[in-house]
Amino acid sequence: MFYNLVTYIMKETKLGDFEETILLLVGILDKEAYAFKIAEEFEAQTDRAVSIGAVHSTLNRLGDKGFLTSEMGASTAERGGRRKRIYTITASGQRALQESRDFKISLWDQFPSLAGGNLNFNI
Amino acid sequence: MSRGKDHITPPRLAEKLLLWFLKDELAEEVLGDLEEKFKDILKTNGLRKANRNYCYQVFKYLRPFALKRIRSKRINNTMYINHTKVALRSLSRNKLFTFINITGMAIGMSVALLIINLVFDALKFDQFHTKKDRIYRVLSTPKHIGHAWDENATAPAPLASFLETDIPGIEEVVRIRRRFSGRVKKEDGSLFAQGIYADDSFFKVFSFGLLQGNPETALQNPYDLVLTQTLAEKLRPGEDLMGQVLTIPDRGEFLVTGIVEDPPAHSHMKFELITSFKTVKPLEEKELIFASSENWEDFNTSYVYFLVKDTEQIMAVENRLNEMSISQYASNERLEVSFSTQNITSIVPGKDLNNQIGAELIPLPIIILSIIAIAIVLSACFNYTNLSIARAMRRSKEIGVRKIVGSSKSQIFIQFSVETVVMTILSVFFSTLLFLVIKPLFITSIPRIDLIMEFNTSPVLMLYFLLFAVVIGLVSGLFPALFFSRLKPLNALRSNGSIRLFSHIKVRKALIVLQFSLSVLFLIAMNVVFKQYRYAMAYDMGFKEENILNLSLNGNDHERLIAELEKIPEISQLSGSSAVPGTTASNTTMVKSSNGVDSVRVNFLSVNPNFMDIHNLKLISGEVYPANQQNEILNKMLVNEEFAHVHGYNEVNDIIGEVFYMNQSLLTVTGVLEDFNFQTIEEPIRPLILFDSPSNYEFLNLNVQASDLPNVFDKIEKAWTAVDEETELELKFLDQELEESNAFLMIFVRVFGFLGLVAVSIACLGLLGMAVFTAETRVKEIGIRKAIGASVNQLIYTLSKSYLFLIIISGFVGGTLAYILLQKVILPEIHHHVNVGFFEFAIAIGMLFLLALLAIGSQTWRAASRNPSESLRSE
Repeated sequence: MFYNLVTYIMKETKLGDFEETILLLVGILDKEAYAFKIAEEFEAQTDRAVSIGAVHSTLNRLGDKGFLTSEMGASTAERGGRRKRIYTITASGQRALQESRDFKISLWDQFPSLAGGNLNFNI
Repeated sequence: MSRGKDHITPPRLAEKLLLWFLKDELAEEVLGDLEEKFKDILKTNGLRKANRNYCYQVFKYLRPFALKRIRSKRINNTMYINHTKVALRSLSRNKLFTFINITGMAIGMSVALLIINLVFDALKFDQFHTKKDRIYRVLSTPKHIGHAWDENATAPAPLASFLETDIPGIEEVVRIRRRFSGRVKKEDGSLFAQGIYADDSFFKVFSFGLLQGNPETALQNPYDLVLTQTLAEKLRPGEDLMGQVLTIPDRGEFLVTGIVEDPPAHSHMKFELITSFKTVKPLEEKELIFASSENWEDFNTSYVYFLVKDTEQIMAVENRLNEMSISQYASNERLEVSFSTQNITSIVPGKDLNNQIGAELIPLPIIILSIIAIAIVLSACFNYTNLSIARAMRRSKEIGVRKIVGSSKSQIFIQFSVETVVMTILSVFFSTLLFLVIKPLFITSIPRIDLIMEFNTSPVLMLYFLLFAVVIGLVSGLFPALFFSRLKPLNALRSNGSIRLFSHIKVRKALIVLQFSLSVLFLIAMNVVFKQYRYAMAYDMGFKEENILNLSLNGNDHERLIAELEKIPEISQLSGSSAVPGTTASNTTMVKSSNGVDSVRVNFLSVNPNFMDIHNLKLISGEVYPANQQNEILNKMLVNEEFAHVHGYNEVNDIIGEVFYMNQSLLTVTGVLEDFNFQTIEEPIRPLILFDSPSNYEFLNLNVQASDLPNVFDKIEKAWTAVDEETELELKFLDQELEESNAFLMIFVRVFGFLGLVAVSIACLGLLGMAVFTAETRVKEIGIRKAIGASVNQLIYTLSKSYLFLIIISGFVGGTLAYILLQKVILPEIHHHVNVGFFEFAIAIGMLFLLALLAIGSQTWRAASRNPSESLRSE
C-alpha cells in the first residue's frame, strides 16, 4: 500500500511539448489513433520525421500518467492480419490539455508588448 | 510466379531481432504498425528504402519501455558459496564416482603435464639468441648424378665469402668447423676437450655470453682460444686464464682470449673450446687436419651461418645461392648442387639432416606425443561426461525441485559448471603430486635425456597448466551442464523411467569405444615395439659380439696405451678403431673412382688389421691390408660388398686392385668383406671402406679371454692410469654397448607401456562407473528376473553383453589404427624391422578384454547375486 502511494506521488503529471502534440493528435485522429497513424499524422502536420518507436514510447508514457487509455482494435490486411492498439484520451488527459492551454494563454496575456499592441517579432 | 507488392514481407532478420528484444505483449501491435509503415514506403519509395526504413524502425524500438525485462539474475557470492557447498556434498555423497573421476583426471592430467613439459622444452631450443629471427644457416644438397643424395647441415666453406661480398642484405657471416678437439695440457697432465673453429663474428651473431674478453676481437687471430667457464675452472681452478698460453698436442699453442658461459642445454650447438677459424689454415698446411676450407666440393666439414638484415630477403638470398651454384659447379657435369637456408629456431626440432652439429630431434615424436597427451586427457574427460550424464537419473529430482522453486536454466548450468570446476581443481592438486612422482622416474628411465632437456617446471608453465586444467574442466562439464539445465522440471519430477536419458546412450557408447580403442592402440604399440626390441637384440649383426672390450681413448696416445695393455696376458688380441661397430653412425667421406668423375658418400672405419680377426669379419675375396706402423701414407683399403655393388662391380673379385681417391689420397682395394651392420639396425647396410689411419683411432678393441674379469679390469685400469691419471677409464663390453644402442626401443616400450597403462586404467575406471550405474538403475529388473527364475550367470550375461560388444568394436577400431600407425608410419623409420603380427593384437585385445571383464563382472556379479526380495521390497 505504501509503495503504491509513493509511486502515485512520484508520477509525473506535467505535459512535455512532444507529449502535448501527441496527445492532441490522438484527439484529432479519434478512432484511428494508433501508433503508426499518429506518427504519420505527426509527420504530415509538423514536417518533422519521427520513428514509430518514439511515438509508441510517448504513448506508453502518457498511458502511465493516466492521460490515455488503450484497447486492441480491429485487424486489417495491410498489417498482416494483426490487431492495432487504439488510444483514447481520458478525462484527466483532457484536463491536462486544457490546463496547458490555459497556462499558455495566461502567459500570452502577461506579455507586455503584446498587451500594448505593438509586438515586434523583427520580421 | 510473381505475387505482386502485397506479398513482399519485411526483412526477416530485422523482424527476428525485434521479437528477440521486444516485450511479448507488445509484439502484435508493433509488428502490425511496422508492417503498415513498410508497405507504405514500399508503395512510394521501393523495396530497398522500405527495408532500410524497417531496420531503422526496429532499431528505434530499442527503448526501455519496449525491452523485455531482463530477469534479474541475483547471482552473488552467497549463491556461489551454495553451489560450491552443493558440489562438495554431491561429490562426497557419490564416493565411488568421485574417486573414479578424480583418479582418472589426475592420472590423465599428470601425463599431459609431463608431455606439455617435454614439448615446451623441445620448443625452447635456440630461443635464447637475441637475433634468432635473423640467424640462418646454409644447407647444401649435392646431387651426384645416378646416386642417392642427402641434405646436409654443412656447406662448402668458401661459400661464406660469396655470401659476404656478392649478396646484399647480409650483415654477418660465420664459418664454423666442427671437431676441434684434443687434450689440453694443464699443470699436471692434460684434459680432453671438444670444440669448434669459428669466425670472429661468432659472438656478434650468436648470444653466447662472453664473461671475459672482447666479443669483437676474441676470435680475430690464428690460435686465439675461447674456453667455457666450466673447462677453465677444470684446467686452472681459481685462476685467471685470460692471456695465458695453453698447449694442445697436434694442434699447437693457443692464446686464451676469452671465457664464455657454458652453452645452455637447449642450444643446438655445444662446445667447450672455440678457436678462431683463422687457425684452420695453418693446421691444414701442416696436414694436421683435412684440407677443406678452400674446397667448393667439400660439403661435409664446415657450417655457414649468417645474419640477414631483413628476414624478407631470405628467399632472395636462397635464389642467389642457387644461381651461383649453377656457374660454380658448371665444370663438373655429374654434380648438381642446390642450397637452401634454415632459420636457427627450426634446427631443433627440425628436419633430418646429415652432419648435424649437435642435438637432433625430428618433429614426428613431438607431434605423436602431443596427440597422445590430448587423447589421454580427453579420455579422462569422457569419463566425467559419461558418468555425470549417467548420474542424471539420480539428480533429476534435485534439478526438478530447483527449477520449480525458480532456478533459471543459466543457474543450473552454472551450478554444474561449478561442480566440474571443483572436481577439476581437486584433480589438478592430485595430478601435480603425481607429476612430481613420475617426473624423476621418467627422466631416469630415458638415458641422456638430461643433456637436451632441462625439465624446468617454471611458474609460467604451471600457470598455463592451471589454465589448461580449468579449460579441461569446463569442456568436460559443458555437456552434462547443458543437459541438466535443459531438463524439463515436470519430466524431472515424474517417475524415474520417463526421463529421456537414454537418448544419449549412443554418445556414451561412442565415448567408451573411443577410450578403449586408444587403450588397444597403446597396448599393441607396446607389444610391437617390444617385439622389435627382442628382434634387434637377437639380430645377427654379422660380427662377433662376445668377449670384446672397447676402451675409449679420450684423446690419449694409442701407442703408449697399447704398449701398456700388451703386458696383460688375458688380452689375446688388440686393435684400434675409429668407431664401435653396430652403434652410432660412423664417419663419412667422399670417394671418387679412379676414372675421376663420380664422388660417392661412403662410411669409413679406420681400423687396425686385428679388428677383422677380433670381430670375426669374413673376407670374401683378396686379403687384409698390413698394419700401418709409422703413420705412413695411406694406400690400401678394404671395402664391403655394398661398396663393390654401388660402384658397379657385380663380381666382387673384380674390384680388387682398383684404385679410388679419398680426398687427396689414392687407395687400392686389397680385399672385400662380407656385409655386416656397422651401424645400428635402424640403417640399411651402406657402402663402407676400411683403412688403417692410426690418427683417427677413438677406441681400442680388446679381445679378452678370462674367467676372472674383475682381475682383468683392475689390470686395464692400472694400464690406463699409467698413461692418463686425469680422465676416468671408459671401458665397455661390445655386447653391452650394442644393447645400449637399442635402448631407445626399450624407452619406447616403457613410454608406450606407461601410456597404455594410463589409458587402460582410465578406460577401465570409466567402464567400472558405467557398470555400477547400470547395475543400480536396473536393480528392480534384476530382482524380477531373478524372482522369475534367472540364474546368476544369465543375469551377468544380460547385464554385460552390451559392454562386451563395445569392447569388441574397440578392439577392431584400435587394432586398425595401430596397424596403420605402426606398420606404415613408425616401423618404416627402422630399416631392419619386424612386422606387426597377429600375436601382438591377440595379446593386447586379450589383456583389455580381461580387464574389462573384471571391471564389469565384479559389479554385475554383485548386482546379480543380491537377494531379489531386498531389491523388490521397497517401493
